[in-house]
Amino acid sequence: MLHRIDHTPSYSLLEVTLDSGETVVSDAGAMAWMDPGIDVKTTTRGGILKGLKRAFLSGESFFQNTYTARRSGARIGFAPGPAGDIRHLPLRGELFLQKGAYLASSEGVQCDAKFDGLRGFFNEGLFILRVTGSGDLFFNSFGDIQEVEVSGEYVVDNGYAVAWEPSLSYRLSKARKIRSFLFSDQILLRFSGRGRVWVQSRSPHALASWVYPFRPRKKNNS
Amino acid sequence: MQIDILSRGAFRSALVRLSDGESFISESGAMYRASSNVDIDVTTRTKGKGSFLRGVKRLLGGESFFLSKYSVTGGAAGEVGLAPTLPGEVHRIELDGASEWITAGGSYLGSGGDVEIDTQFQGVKGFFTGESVFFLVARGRGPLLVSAFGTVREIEVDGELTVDTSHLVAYEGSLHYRVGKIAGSWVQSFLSGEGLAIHFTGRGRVYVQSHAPNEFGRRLGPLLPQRN
Repeated sequence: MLHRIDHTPSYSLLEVTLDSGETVVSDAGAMAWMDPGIDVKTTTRGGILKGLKRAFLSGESFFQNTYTARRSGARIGFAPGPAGDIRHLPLRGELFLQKGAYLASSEGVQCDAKFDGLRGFFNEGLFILRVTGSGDLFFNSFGDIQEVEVSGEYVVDNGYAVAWEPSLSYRLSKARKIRSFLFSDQILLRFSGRGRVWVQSRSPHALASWVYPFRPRKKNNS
Repeated sequence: MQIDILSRGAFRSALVRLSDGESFISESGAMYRASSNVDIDVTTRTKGKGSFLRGVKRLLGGESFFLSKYSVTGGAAGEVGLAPTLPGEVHRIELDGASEWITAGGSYLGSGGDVEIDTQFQGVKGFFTGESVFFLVARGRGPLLVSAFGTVREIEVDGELTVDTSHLVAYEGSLHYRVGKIAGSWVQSFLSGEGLAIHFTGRGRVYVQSHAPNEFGRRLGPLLPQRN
């Protein structure tokens, strides 16, 4: 499986070239275009329960699409929802992703929702994505992706962590002064251990809050 | 203090490296990553005579109520990453202690610990079109970070320049300015869709952004459910 990622980091697009019989998996809805000679199968991959968990708990699709080439050299373009970066990672083992960050992978990679406990409550919901297996993994962000090597401790603002290695543990913390909590913008993920965390340079939440005041007001005559 | 503008692509941000004893201020909520030895405090003060009232004034300036202050203690160096909300560029302006810079309310991203930040209220004219005309004044010595929605065009003024308020990012304090209408009369100015303008005279630099945040907001807002 060959791949190239074009137009990084602002309008990244993933193009995969398959050999005959080769398969790539993506989140349903990520395919932007493809050559003829590719069979598309829509499945829950791993069973209905896994699909349900993905859909309702982790912001991904219930279904995943499996693309299998009938001929060599067939190409598929995958585009993420938000404008931003796509990163490729040769996965061997396990990686955690923020909700919605999974784009595509080779067949040997499984994607499942993971209950993250109450500590995840302030982050993008109670669940995160857990990808396991070995093969190519592609994940995406809103904005640029920066890779940070953590050795010891590193702080990432809530909602900006795209992916992190299982060798890192994290806990939620507030900025030190208690009054900062009242203003709800200083909830931090404190990663510790040794490993990599990928950080995005913009937050969909922050953008949504920014747009909020532009919403029309409800009229009072109802 | 070393500042890297992470300048790949359309979603730029700044990574500020602080040595022991140094500090940096930002709009609250702008921090998205930091080393663990950075102490994050919420403040209403900057250098100078800080007060609660200044925090209120800042709210009117279009920024969050409070500023965040980052400092490093304990000997080791630390880093803080700062990002604006909207896509666009981040620029660094170096304050030399002599001249001040004025930023539009929404364009202030951060500044060095020795830079004083104050709010300037530009009168009620802004309410005519619903545009706020509030500025933040930065004076002292050190770096000032501004963010733009889109790209920044730097314009050297020698004489006169008219800028739509919603496209203004920052300007040099050596310039004189007057807030006013764009067209001949208020009605025409309103109909022209250009809203309020700032007329600069004198010599100095002006930063203008390619896109107006409030125009973007006005496109998106009506597509969303009503609020109460």
